[in-house]
Amino acid sequence: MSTKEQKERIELLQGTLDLLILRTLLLGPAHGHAIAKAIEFKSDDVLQVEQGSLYPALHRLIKRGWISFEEGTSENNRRAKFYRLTPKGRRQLAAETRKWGKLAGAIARILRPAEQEGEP
Amino acid sequence: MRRRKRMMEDLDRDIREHIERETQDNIDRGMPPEEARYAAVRKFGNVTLVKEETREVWTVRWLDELIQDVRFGLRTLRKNPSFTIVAVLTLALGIGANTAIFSVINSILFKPLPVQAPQELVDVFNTPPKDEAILQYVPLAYPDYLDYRDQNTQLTGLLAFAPTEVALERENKSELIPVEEVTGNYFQVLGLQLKLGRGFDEAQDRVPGGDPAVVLSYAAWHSKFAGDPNIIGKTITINEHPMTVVGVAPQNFHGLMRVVAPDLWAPISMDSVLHLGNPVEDRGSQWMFTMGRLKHGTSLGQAQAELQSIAARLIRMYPKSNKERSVVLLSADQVKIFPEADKAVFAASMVLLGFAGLILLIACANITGMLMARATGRRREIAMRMALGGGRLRLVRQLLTENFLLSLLGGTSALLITSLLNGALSRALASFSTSLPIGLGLTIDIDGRVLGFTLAVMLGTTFLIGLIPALKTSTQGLADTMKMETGAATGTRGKHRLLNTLVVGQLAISVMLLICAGLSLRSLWNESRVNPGFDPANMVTAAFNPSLAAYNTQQASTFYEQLTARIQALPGVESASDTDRLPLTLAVQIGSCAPEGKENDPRAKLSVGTATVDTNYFKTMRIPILRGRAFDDEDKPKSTPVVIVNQTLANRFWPGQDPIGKRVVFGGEIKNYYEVVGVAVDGKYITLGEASRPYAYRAMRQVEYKDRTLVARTMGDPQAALALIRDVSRQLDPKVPVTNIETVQQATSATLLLPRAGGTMFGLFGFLGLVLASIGLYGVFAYTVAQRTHEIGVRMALGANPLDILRMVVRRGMGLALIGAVLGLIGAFALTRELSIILYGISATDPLTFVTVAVVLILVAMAACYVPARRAMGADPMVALRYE
Repeated sequence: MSTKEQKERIELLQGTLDLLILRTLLLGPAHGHAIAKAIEFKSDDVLQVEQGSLYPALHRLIKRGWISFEEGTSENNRRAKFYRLTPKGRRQLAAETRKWGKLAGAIARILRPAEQEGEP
Repeated sequence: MRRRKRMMEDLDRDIREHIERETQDNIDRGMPPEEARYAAVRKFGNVTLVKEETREVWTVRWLDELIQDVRFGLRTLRKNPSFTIVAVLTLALGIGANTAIFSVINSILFKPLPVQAPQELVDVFNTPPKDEAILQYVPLAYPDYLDYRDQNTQLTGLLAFAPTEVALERENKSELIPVEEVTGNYFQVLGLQLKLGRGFDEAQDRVPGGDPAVVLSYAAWHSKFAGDPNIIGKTITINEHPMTVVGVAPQNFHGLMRVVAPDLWAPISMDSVLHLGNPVEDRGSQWMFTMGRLKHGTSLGQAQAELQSIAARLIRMYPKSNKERSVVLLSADQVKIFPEADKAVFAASMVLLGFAGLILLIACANITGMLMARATGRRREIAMRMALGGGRLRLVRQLLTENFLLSLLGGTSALLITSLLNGALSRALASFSTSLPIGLGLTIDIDGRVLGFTLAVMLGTTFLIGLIPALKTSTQGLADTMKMETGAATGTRGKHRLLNTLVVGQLAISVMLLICAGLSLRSLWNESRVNPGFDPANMVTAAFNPSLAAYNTQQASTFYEQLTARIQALPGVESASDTDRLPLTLAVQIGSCAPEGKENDPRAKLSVGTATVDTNYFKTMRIPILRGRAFDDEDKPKSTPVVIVNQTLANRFWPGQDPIGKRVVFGGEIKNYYEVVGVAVDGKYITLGEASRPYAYRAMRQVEYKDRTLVARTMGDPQAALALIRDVSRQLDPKVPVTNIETVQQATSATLLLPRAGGTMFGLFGFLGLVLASIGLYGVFAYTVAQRTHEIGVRMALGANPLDILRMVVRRGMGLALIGAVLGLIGAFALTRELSIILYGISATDPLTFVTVAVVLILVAMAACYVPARRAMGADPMVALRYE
């Protein structure tokens, strides 16, 4: 994949990736790898995200104060950073989810009649 | 910052762990270990890119880039020490000149008075009756001031002050010092905290002699009283009268008139001691400057309206003295000295600043040239950066940052030097002003406004020197540059043109400045050779103030009779006389005069200078009397008032007739007829450069002023007589203050001050400009020659004679110099008309000056071209050919 395509892809997903991470952390703190795996799993493998792009996203969320981290030990006795939602992040998640819902609903409404009209 | 560092340190580990886990998962799913790891790494993506992007989350981009730029800029400057030093010095000179001049202007024009809440202060002036308007703003009479002070409701306080001079006696010597006579509430209305002691007792204001106290200025306390910490309570002698020092003013307070700094303040209750001729009780004498403080919430307009109604009341109550006398209020920061003089000061300041700006322009042009020359050397580096993705904007920013560093270094050096030299510079400025009768309070004070100005100049300089080279550099063709074509490439021609323009501009400006200098100096020379109408050589003068020793008119006249007799009797003294003023000092008296029969004809009236002189005056001064006689003993107080006129006056009033016996009248209400008894030769009375002016002399025996100036002609060196004068005066009466004992030539040098100052300024600026421009010419020339080394090598290899090379190279440089000279001459031609006001005996387009300056420039240019040309001549063709 060329740098240009890759860049486009990443830009598209930046906002949504943030949202997905927040949602994943709603269920409880997790480390980076676990978050990646959770997103893949929950979306039935539809969303194939390059796992590396997770890290800039995590740092961005930390910078904005939506998630926090602490050092801990994972299940196989390895050291890892565990990320968790902050109250601010929780509120942000709720707001973003609502926005997404509205957006998805609006697009769905526009698309449905066109499908019907387009039928031969 | 710390969080970022920590996060980035952990990132390596976090990524490693992540990939480990993915690998493990893959193994768990059944992949062989190597494939598992490979799949994990692929899934992760580009680790370097991820690290980059993560790092970017934390960067404050512009700050990072700025720090980068600054670091890089500093390194670049360090790598080229000779360039950096020259550039910084040049800038320090240019910026420093502007800063120094601005700080002087600042303390005169811009700085608010160092008192409490200066924005609340207003100046109160009287407006004169319409037909008498010489000045638009007139000081107040003391009784009027009292009425305004007591009857107003819009001001929290109203003070009055009057600058004057008194004789201070110290260590047996009497010197005239500038002082401000003030009302008792002066310090309190201004809200000043005195450094030592207290202010004056307001209650004593109307009690004559009630408060014999003075407040010293900080400067006087140090210079005249050695900063004595116990000065409070000590007695000093002012005008032969003991006064007690009760306070010392704050260091930064120099009185209420800018530029004129008093040595001490004395209360108005001591007026009879300080001051004469302006009686405190007289409503007709307007001599006090007045300043008030507005109440909170009151506007200037409201206060003015109230004071105007008080004025109207006064007009009704005192119809004779207060006829048509109204008031006007001006905000205190609008008035620097007094309104009429302010305009001149402002104009002079702007001219000075303009010249400093020109010097800075020349300096900037120099540096721009240097930068552009250097840019060629950096072509490779810049092309590389652009190829690697540095945006053009980023590049320009980088270059501008370098330039700003240069400006910053230059400006900071300038400020440092200025503040270090502050003492020396202030003293130089002070010595400049000693020939004036007032105490100039010019200081170089670096305050916030000066710093702000310097910063603005630095920023401006940055753009001036940097923008064009930066823009030009960033547009160069990448391909061409990477191939490093030699000087024959097209891109360089444009750069050459710009460099040439800069040099030509510098030379033109230098030429203009030098021409101004030349004209001023020649004008000065001419003035000093003008015949002033008397013989100023071997003459001494001294000023006497018996009125300060409470002499009455009769006593004073006797004093002078004895004084002149004794002085004349001294060995080495030819003759002595007295007068009320010397010509060509700044003591000028002008009134209107009309011939008999045309007293009410406004066309016949002339503005005439007058002096009052004793019988021996014309003989002592060697002023020829062309017709009639000088004054003699027959002219007594009760006999016919007589007058001696000069040729100009005689010719104007009675052309073609004999003026002896004719009568004139001097302006004002009183109709006193003076009979002309003699005609004196024309002379110079106010400045040496003036046109012929009508002048009249009255007889001292008839007017009998108490304070007079002695003039005496010595047969040899006048210096010896100077010491004797004081002795003679002391023998007569030690209580009479004697001041300004000097030779007449010293006394009359004050009028030459302005032209001399102007000439010096121009000369200095012109010389500076020429030096800078020559350096610029040399630099550009050396650079262009170096650029053409390859070409020169080719020519020499093809058989060209070294002399041909020299000729070719010099022709280019001289061509520039000629263009510059011509442009400068044209520019000067246009500009010097403005100067013609201060020029004497020389036309503003004097050919000799113009040609001389042009020749000087050509010679200097030739010298500047010589070295690089020589070097070009001596070039080894083999080396030159290989030069890239």
